[in-house]
Amino acid sequence: MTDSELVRECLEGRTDSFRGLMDRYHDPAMAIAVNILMNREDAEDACQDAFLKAYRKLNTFDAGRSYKNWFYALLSNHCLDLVRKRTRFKGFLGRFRHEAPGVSPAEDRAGRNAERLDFRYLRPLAPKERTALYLWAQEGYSAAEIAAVLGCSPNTAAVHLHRARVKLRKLMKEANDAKN
Amino acid sequence: MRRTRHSGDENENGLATLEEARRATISADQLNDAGDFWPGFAAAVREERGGRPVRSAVRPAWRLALGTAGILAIVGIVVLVPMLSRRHPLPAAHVESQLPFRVDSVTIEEKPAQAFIFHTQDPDISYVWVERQL
Repeated sequence: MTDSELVRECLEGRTDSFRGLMDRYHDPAMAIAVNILMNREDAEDACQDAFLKAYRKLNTFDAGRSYKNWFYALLSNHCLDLVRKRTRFKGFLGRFRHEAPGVSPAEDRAGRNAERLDFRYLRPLAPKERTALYLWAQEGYSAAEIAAVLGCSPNTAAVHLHRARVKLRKLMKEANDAKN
Repeated sequence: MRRTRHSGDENENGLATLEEARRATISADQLNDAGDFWPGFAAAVREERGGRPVRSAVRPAWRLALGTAGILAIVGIVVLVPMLSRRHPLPAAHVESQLPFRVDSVTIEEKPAQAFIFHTQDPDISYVWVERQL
């Protein structure tokens, strides 16, 4: 059954059909969210919210377009919003932070995350660069497809990807040099 | 799922190759034990359909009052705490004596919210910032 058929069934009131879409995009959704948020638990929360948002907005989905790209756009926007909120709060928090180690739940969870997932090359990249890099490397997306997800022009998407690849090359070279 | 379009060894141009980008990013295969989102989704949809309006228990006038109080509190924190801590710096021993604590879960209007903890120079005062999730 295609994505569009599942969407149509959902719109006809068969909520269970959404499970098919959820199962189909569960793993890539988690991967996108983890690459943007760099925190597994936050990514799970973001995916949960994004699936619910997608269900609520299904009536705005254009059946002539790709559900996958539509959902990826919705999810990555949600994750990028979370990153912006997090950055804004960290700026505010920075005024009060001192050397004493006050660990917030988010930081604590991020610490546990780091044990399992390696974010060392993603951390220096901007959120949109991480998104573009993931879509290119893991999903085989072109600049035009990345643009559809990020809601920007293909040229801008190409710039995000180019910057990500330049930074990554530099980081990997530095890591190699440090090893040798 | 994965489509391959580029195989180029572009690192001579200062660009990471596709293989390097794959190694640097987290793939779906590395996240096999991610939880099932269906139970939470189904519960949320059931609740919406149950006829219970999803509305705040706080009346608009109270919302305005609480919002104003919140803004005043934030201004107080932003302006007064750094001023006071500059005037009366605490010895390091006091700073280190802070009792750590954690917030396991926070909800706003019965929905999960984000919580952040930050400590002041006063070992007896810590602030918890709670934000509604988008």
